[in-house]
Amino acid sequence: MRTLIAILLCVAGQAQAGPVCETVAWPVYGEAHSPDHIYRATAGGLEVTERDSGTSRLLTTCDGLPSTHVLAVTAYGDGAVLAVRGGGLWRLSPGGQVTPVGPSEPLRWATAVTSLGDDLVVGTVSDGVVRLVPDGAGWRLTRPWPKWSKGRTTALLASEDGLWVGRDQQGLWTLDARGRERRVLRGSVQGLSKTPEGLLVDRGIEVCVARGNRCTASEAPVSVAPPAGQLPSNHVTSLAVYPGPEGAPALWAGTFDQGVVVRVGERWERPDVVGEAPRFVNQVVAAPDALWVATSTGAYRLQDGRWTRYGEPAGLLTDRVNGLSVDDGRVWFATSQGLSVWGERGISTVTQRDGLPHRIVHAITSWDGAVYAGTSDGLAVIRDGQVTVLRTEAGAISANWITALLATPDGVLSGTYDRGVDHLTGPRPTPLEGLGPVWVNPHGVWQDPADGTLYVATLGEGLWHGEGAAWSRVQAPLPSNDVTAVARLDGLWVATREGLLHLSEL
Amino acid sequence: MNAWIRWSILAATLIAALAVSGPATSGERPALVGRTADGAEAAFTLARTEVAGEILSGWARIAVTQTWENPFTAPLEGVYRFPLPHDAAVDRVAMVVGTRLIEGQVMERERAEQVYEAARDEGRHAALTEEERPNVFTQTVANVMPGETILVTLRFVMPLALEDGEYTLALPTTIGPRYVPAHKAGDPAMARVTAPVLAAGEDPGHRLDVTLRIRPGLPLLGVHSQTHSIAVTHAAPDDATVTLDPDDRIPDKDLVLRYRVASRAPLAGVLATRSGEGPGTFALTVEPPSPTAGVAVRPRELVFVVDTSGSMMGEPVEKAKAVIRRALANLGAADTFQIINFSSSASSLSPTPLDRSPQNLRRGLQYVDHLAGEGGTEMLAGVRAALAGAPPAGRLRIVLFLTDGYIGNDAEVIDYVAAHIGQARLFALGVGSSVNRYLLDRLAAAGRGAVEYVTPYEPEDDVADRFSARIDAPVLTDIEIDWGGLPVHGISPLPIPDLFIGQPLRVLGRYERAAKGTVQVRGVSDGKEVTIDVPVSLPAVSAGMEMIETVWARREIDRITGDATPEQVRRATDLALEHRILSPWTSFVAVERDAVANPSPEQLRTALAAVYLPDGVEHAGIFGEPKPPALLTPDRIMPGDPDILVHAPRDARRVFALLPWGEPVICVWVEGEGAFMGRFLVPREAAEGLYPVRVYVEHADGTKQSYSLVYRVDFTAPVMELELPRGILAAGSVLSLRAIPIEGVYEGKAVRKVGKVTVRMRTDVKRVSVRVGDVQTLLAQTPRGEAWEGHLRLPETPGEYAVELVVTDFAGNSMRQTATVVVR
Repeated sequence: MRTLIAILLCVAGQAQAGPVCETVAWPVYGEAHSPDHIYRATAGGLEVTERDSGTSRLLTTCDGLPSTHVLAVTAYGDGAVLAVRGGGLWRLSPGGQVTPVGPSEPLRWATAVTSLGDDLVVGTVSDGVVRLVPDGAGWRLTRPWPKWSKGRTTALLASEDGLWVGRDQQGLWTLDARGRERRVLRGSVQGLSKTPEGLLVDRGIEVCVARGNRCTASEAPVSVAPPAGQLPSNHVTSLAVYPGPEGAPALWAGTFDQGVVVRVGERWERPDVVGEAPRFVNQVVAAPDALWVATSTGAYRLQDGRWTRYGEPAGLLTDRVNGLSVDDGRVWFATSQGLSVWGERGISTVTQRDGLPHRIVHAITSWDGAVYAGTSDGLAVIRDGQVTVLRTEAGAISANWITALLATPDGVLSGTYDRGVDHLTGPRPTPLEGLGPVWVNPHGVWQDPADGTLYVATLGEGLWHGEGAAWSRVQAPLPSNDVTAVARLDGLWVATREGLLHLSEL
Repeated sequence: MNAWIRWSILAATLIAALAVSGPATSGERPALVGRTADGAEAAFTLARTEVAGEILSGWARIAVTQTWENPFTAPLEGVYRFPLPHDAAVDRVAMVVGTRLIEGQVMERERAEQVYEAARDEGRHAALTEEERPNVFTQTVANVMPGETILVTLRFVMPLALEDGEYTLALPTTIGPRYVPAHKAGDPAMARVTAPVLAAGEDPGHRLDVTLRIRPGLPLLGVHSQTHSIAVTHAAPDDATVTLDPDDRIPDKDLVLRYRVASRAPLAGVLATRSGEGPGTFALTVEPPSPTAGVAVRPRELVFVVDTSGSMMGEPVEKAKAVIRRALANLGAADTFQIINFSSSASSLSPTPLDRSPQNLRRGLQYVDHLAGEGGTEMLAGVRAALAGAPPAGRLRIVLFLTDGYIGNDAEVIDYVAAHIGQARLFALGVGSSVNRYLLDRLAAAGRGAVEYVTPYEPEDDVADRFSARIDAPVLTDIEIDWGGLPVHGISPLPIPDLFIGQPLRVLGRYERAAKGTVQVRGVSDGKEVTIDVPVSLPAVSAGMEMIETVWARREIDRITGDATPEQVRRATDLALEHRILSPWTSFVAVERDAVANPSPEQLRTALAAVYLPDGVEHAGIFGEPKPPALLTPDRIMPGDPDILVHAPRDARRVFALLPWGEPVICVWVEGEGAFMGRFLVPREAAEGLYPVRVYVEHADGTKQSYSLVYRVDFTAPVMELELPRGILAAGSVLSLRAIPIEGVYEGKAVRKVGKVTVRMRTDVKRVSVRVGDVQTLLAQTPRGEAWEGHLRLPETPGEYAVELVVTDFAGNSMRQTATVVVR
């Protein structure tokens, strides 16, 4: 159901009493200008700059936006209309109210929007270009352009020269004098903007200025790096608390594709890693004497200020380390080819040949003298070198794809891809009934060391906390309902695939 | 050509060249010498190979004629690496240019090279034939002018293999790519045992013609080949001619020809040749009596060592696995077993051998099921693992070594086996269409065992059963020959190897003068002494079987391998020169002295001729999968996080992808992948369907490329229905299972209608399993594709049981269906 949301105008990142969303306004998808504001659509929210004062605000879910991932924006009336990823069109009024625009389909995957008088022209990921006409309190959807009725739209721009449509690899189009679609440029068009030079066309890897049927190369930059000092990516995969560069406990964040960073004061810093730095982080684990980072290009250990990488040359089955667990002097690496175990006698392995039900191991933990390995096709329990496999076919577990494992004093919690969490204490695990069949994200089961509360990070259904049959969903305005990790340091930190949330308390 | 395409082809070729030999390369790129008259670039290959010969009394004299044509616009020096049987003795090489025949002269190798190079540099037609291994040779031909055709004929003689009364002629036609271990990387000899391989599917038209006449002196029985389609025409009961079917002439597999003769009397006889002056040469063949049946078999430790390197990928490794499965079923009650596989390293089923309990056999079979061809061929690691330690007292270790033998360090492996075999026995099993038979034969000899070959075209059970029969039957050991005062010397082989059931004794030797007598062959079989008397007549003069002398000389030379002393090399060289045969130290060179063919020798271009990859060997197993410029893994997914791999040069300035909604994915160079890598998230709210991803690359020189990828979001499980028999089922009986597709199973075009099911080209089904109680089985798609079938043994205990069908697709979606069966 589409709802009206009241925006709480605040500046992201500033200290305040309530929950704080921390996102990075990168990459930038597009820009729109109104007499009073400049709007920038970014993966970290909608950046609104007041023309008079020059001050900027980054609006996120903490401020009432339906999503922080804003793909497109256009000035409309006194405010703006924005498209959020997978969430359709929304109108932002000058008073900060957010209301849905148009029907859910086909607008849910809107990728571009521009205003044409009172109307809106909307491009979608696969359903072509539609026109929205105000109709009383709602909107009427029309498809006036047959040649644009299907396919992917990458950019829209209405200017005094007319309506311009970027259609991915199908080129740049406009309307002729009779209002019919006409292609003016062939090839890739990924973005459009109006500059004093003319119509700037983003070709994907280069930028040119369109003049008639020609496009002259431009020196305009096509992308920028994430701003220094901020999160390198909104997609945070893992959190851990471990001493930072200054020796005090610090928050470490692993990101999906931009490596690992540590929070120093109000800034995020990249650690100084010699050689190939961790990039695609799957899990960050704080052990008593080291910080471990599992990545798709190997495992990394930070100990005594020095980083060491472990990959295939060191004896791991593969560089693709999905997770790891540290116990009693051993490090267990969950890899995409099985388990590698680093103990006193070097690195040994456990693979399908030894009885693992699948080569891809997602999660690993140890409990009561046994090691639990969650794979794509069942849960392996390794005790005294013998592998026992638990699978759905025997009714042993709720789903065969295990994404998260957590050892607790009462047993092992096993998070599954799309069937909630099982509690394993004996041969017949029991599902956490109060939680329901949520999709559990990798390593998305966590226990708060402060009070023992259990947290489950889900794919699309937010963050849950509780125990036994009593579970409830965290109501704070998360940057995304796709939650990946939780950590405690001066309050609670919640990582999502679209930014961080810092809560003083639930 | 598009620059991106050009780069990727070049990269694939370079990768292929490196992948041939793993740590070190002995591979060579097919040389593109230039353009043909119509302007096309082409790899150089031979036009034709003709095999013609005669087989007499178990001996063959064969001529191989290579047709060299220069399709290019520049004068050509062609280099062709080719195989011959390792026990063949090449005693003649001739070159035909137009109507002129130039006989090759045998000389010391270095001298032959000098003669050849001088002629080449003068612009003369010249041909040089060299031996690289007993079964790998190099033919070089200089100054083949554009459009010109030159023929090179090599003649060789060889004995046919004889086992179980059947003669076998095996003629190799191509060289499998050889793996060279890292510690041999610097050895230039390693680069001379392999040839560039034609790309998968490439066929430049090199064809094989065969005409072989068989005249054994006795009526022929069952002339046949399991490797080729042949035509056999009989001029008389003891005179047949074999030719190849016109559609089966690509030189990419051994030609294996077998026949019997109409006599089952035990063989015992002598063939001799002597010109009347100097020593003569004889061949003694003795077939031992069949061993007594029912003898006690000593407990054994069977060690199966299987090559799981890249060249074994696909058909060969499956064949090897089938042999092991059968051999495991044939194990004796007191036997133990071990399974070792090696590729880039060696692994084993268990730290110690296992007894043949049903549980262990299941474990062994599961281990075998998981074997697949991939990686290098560190054969020494496999041999070491097999021969490590000693079996318990009273137990005989028997190693079955299964491989295609595609290595460059043959001698090293053979020497290791010879030095470490101890009391064990090693049986070699060559697996594939073009096996390195030299290596396999020598491994078996060094391991005091026997050799077998299984091609993709024949059932493996026969081979496995023959192996089991061999190790069950007593061996004739400690064989000695009392020559009874006959004036013989130069006996080969020495010592005489043990003989297994079905194997005759074959000995070659020299004699000084005519003589008659009775030779006594003595040995021990099952603890008892066996004696065979053979009357022998060594004639003063005998013509027609001169090839025996040539083969004897070849064997004498072959005894000098590895670290030969200068004296041994000198003796071998002299022997080769005396008998005019090719050897590691002597080569043939033919030079056209009468004319200069190429007035501009400085324009000569050298090309290494490409050969066909052996039939059944997968190109990807040797050279790796050709790398597309970019790929998505996986590309069929539930909502999740696939990787994008972009095989752009490492020094590319920028590599990124744009997702369908415009989100950029920055790709970074990842050393372990040797590619740029990025990953992205398919949102949970993404609808099912195909999504495009555009990949962009900015190269170091500023050029820009883009490439399209597509991924499929799939979160719907395929649906099947399990058909079960009605009524009460018998406890312990075998239940036939059949799962019928309902929806979400097939994709693509319809290919046939089977009953109510329309079978389509592709299926989105990765795994279909059925479980009853604790027993699970996998169902397999039927040959016509309309269903998945399997069998499962019901529990022994009566009761009601849940039968659960689980179907999983390639994206990981699965469905479950449960039914109940009553077992009484």
